[in-house]
Amino acid sequence: MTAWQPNFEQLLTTNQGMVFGLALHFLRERTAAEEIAQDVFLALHKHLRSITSDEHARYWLRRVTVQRCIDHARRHPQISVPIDDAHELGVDPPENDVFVRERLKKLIATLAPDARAVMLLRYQEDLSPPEIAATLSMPVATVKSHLQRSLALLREKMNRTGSMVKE
Amino acid sequence: MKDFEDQLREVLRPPDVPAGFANRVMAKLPEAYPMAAPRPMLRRVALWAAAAVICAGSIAAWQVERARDERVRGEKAREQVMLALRITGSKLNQAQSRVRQVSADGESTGEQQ
Repeated sequence: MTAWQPNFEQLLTTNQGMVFGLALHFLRERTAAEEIAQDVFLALHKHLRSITSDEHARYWLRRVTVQRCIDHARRHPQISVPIDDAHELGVDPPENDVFVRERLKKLIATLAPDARAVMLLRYQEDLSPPEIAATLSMPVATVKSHLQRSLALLREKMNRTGSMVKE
Repeated sequence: MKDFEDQLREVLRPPDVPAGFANRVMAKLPEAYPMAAPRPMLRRVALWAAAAVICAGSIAAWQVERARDERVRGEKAREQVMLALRITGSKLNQAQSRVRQVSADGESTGEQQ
């Protein structure tokens, strides 16, 4: 069996969607998301010798991307999204799927950086709470707590704006 | 209505990557890292080689300088020896002339008597 050899271009092609997606969902700003995604891949190139497998590369990319997004969010705190803007748009929220999705994205963006990171790793990357805990270096109990609270908060806010969600 | 968690998964599906993203990253590589960092072992060997070249160069320069000094000293010593020989030769010539003169004077005095 031959040893794993890093192929940067292949890692870039395979993981660019994941890295850019995490950054975009976290920041909701395409320019900043692309900048962070580029920086993350440049950092990967720099540390390529310490990467031992494709899975390790994916884990490393997730960890670094989320950490940089958290740092960015802390440095540039965003203005909170008004909760009642659904009614200002004059559309019927439950009937409009695009509206509901957009609304949900905006609400996720209002979560605290750590909670947002947990939600993205859970629902974009489909990681289990122990995997999220390992990625973010936080206790599993904290991850579970973030998930429960964030889900409850999002449900409540969606219901308040008329975008009813199933419990 | 869909389950809320499924709705979240759908909302958080990775979006399309901006066109040319990978190319832009690849284009930045030489700018960010002009040369791949040499392996630690190669770097160590290169450092030792550079140090050896500098040492060898210093020793060679010192040897050349020392040889030049010795040659200059040798030339000076030879000049001094030559000078001494010239002085000695000149003195010997003077002494010889003097001896010849004295013996010539002695002979002429004996003839007169």
